[in-house]
Amino acid sequence: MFRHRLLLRQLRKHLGPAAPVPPELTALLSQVDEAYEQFDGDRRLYEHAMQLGSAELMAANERLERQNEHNLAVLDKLRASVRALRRDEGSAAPADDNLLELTGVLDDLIRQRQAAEAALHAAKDAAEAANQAKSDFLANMSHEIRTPMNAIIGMSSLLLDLPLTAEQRECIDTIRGSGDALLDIINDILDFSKIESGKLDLEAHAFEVRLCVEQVLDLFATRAAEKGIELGLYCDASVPDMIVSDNTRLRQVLVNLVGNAVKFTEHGGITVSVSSEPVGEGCRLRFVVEDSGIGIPADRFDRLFKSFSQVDSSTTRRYGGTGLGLAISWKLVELMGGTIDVASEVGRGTSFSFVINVPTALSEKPVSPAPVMVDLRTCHALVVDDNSVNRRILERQLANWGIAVTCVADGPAALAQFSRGPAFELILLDFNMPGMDGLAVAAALRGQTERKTPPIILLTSRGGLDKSVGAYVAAQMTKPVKPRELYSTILQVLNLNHSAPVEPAKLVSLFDRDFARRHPLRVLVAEDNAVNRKVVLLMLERLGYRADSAANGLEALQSLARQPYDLVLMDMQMPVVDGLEATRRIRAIVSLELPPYILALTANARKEDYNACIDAGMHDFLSKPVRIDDLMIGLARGHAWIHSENREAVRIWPELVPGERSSG
Amino acid sequence: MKIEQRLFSPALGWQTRKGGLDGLAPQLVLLFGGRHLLENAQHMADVRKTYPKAHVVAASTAGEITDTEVTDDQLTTIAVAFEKTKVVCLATSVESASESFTAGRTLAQKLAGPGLVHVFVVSDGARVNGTELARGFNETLPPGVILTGGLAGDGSRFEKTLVGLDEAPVVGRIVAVAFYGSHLRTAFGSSGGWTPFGPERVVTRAEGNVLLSLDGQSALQLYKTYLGDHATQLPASALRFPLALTPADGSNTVVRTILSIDEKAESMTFAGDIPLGGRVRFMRASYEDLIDGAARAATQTQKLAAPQLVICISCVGRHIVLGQRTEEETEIVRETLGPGAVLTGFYSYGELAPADNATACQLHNQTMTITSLRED
Repeated sequence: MFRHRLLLRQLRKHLGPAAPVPPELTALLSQVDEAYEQFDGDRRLYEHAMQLGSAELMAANERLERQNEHNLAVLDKLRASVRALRRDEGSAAPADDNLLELTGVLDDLIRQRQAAEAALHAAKDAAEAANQAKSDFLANMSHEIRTPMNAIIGMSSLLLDLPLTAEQRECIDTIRGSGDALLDIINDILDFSKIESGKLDLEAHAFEVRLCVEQVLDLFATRAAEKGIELGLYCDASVPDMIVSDNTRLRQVLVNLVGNAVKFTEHGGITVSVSSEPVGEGCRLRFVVEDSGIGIPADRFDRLFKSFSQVDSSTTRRYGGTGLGLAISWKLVELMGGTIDVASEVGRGTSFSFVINVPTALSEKPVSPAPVMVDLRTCHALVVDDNSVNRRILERQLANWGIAVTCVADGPAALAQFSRGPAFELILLDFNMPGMDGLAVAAALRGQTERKTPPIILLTSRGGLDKSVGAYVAAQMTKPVKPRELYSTILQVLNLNHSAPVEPAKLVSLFDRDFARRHPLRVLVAEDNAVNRKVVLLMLERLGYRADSAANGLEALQSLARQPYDLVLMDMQMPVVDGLEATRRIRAIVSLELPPYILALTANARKEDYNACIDAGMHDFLSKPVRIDDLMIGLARGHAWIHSENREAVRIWPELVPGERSSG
Repeated sequence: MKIEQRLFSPALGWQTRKGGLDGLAPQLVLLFGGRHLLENAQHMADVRKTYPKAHVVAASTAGEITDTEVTDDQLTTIAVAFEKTKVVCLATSVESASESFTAGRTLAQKLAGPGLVHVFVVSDGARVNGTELARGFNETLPPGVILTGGLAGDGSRFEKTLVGLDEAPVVGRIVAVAFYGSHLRTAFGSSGGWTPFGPERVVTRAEGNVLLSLDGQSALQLYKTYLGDHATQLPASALRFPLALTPADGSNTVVRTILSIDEKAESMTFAGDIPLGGRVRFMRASYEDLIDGAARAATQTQKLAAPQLVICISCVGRHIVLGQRTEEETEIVRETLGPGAVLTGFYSYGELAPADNATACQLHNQTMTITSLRED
């Protein structure tokens, strides 16, 4: 019943050897037993620990003693060497040199070593300072260039919205285009310097890889159509919906590769294909950008990914560019844990491919819902396109969904195949074909009476044809054709689909004069640079706002003291009181969940700047040069915030349960 | 200030230990209790029914203090009606330890205001990094405002800790109680009683509050060697040997106590940061040392004469070492401070108070930390 020997003995002595323990004492005695046990246990533990501790200290002591003996032996040797040295020099000094002199020699040695170390440190400090100076210079230069760029891009956008002659419009278009190009170059240089100094960190978030690639293709659709080349996307069914990686940087690599391909291709087209294989918890994604352009000589491959180097300098003269794009892409893919490969044949084309390993984000739902998959294995499609790149992509894409495909290169072949070949359930018809164009083929197919004509999907490069087309075709699509839109269109024309087709993204007109009526806000603009202030005020005016302005942070504070504002566009760098300080002073009086909503404007596009803004108590961030669509998004967010029930949730803090009670 | 103290045990139900609200409605109720009892919604509902107009701040414990009595897995409440002091309660949550700094800063930003004199914080004790939480408060609270409090406990189970404000207590919650007005006087005291022993070791691998190796050797293995038979009761038994830690930057030596171990990763998680390059020594304490420590903490609070409410927050490690003698701590506090004050509190996974005479709050481990209050 009890464990401790002392207690058992005490009980025997007081109660007699065999006497039972009185029941009213049992609870008390078990506590006593437990206390005895704990006491002994504690004592054993501490003795054990003290023993170990002292053994460790003894061992350390022995090590020190041995070290000391060793040091003494070394000292003896040194002393002998110094004596020998003296004898060699024929010195008249007495042989019984003392330890003091010896330490003098040692001190000299130590001083020399310290001097060498100090020199090394100084060199390292100088190198670091130089590097910092370089970074500062770049950041500064970026700021200096971005400020006038803001004016150029902003003002030219505003001009384009006015009634203009064709010639004027062309001039301004050129200014605007050059501004954009210059901005791209600055961004390239900044990125490269960040990579060089190891300051570029990849982010990891879940996003839709298909959407990322489609957006890149959208970017180049117009340019490809203008050059008369095809731009196609093949996305294998194995590619997961959501992956975890850095969307912006992946997009940057693809923009660079596809941009190059478009730049260097005059005939034929460009195929972008994405495939995937599972690896552990994630997948290995493979991107291939293939063009039929001028090609690259094999002996120039090694120069390709070097900074500031294009295939040869004449390339720069003919095609432009900084020569940094591929170097940046190479580094970015390397940061993502992959490599870029290139294969090319002069005059035939080039293929860039890269592979990255990424985790799949199973728990994240894609923003654009995946279409319901329908069994299409009984379907047989006829593809009519003069461009072999396009034919190959469509064939692969359709086959991927289980559709049997027959491809032909022109109208007459299509008609022949249609009357003699197997029955088709679907026809995909390119509009721009030499000889007989897509519409003529469609009319001919409709005109024949031998076979029932299946639904026709017409593919065009340049937006909508006139409405009469509707008589011949079931649907028309703009190239580059996105796999998901194609799939949903096929389901629609085959009447297999109960939901609406995926709508292609609509172009928003540059200035929406109705914007302010839909998002009413009292706006204050705090910006010291007169030109930039005018740009932002004009942009706001075009959107329907009558905004007030302040030339520095102090004026902004004075304006806020006079009347309330819903939203402040706050430049970060201003004289007298800068944007951060002004924000801090506002936040000292008005807490974060109350207006004004503060939107930072800055030419510094660095992450530290973003953090500084948020820390000071701003809500959002716009990078200069301010683009009208970014401004509209920022204003719309601010409007939503002003009208949200729980403003705290909009910003950093997820949950807050305030409660207050006062008395007395 | 009028105070009522009640105690709940599963065997006896609710009992009023000390009445005295004189018909006033209390604004603040502190509820400390066993985690399993707090998970039962009925108990929370009972407390809120008893004090319908008060904010109820609840925390799970490693032992409850009701006057000089120390209980395990019971509930103790203290209901306070302030007559001249304004009380504001705020709660927030963190998803991970990395948010602790921002949580402290945000709460302090919201609470800072005219007349603020004292903030008492009860925080989750397993997920929150107490060092960072205190730093967040310190950076933001106006000078002269004192912060004290403690991290919730979970017996010697170290599974999860719960904190709540007017709600079922949950994991990750931090509650701050702020006192405003010129009539409230407060004092604090904090002392440990531990002595370092054995060789000094250097932290060679650590991340935040996770320690992996000392002098290049597995820290967990070292603990197991020193604990001998007691190693089977890890992590609780490691509380017998907290670490005296002197950071490499030469700042003050602090005591760090263990929260959990990971056998697979051979890592140990502590209740505060273990910075790389810091020097550590094991510490130990006898019963007498710990009780002397509690007496010292009580003496430090004597700057405030005739306190009305005394909140004792003592470390679970002391409870484990003291065992049946735990109540000697609360007895010595009562002896030092006299019979006037109402004593409440709990055994915690970390204590918050300024060190010595400084005003910046620090996370302490293995101490008795006392906050005393009086309303004039």
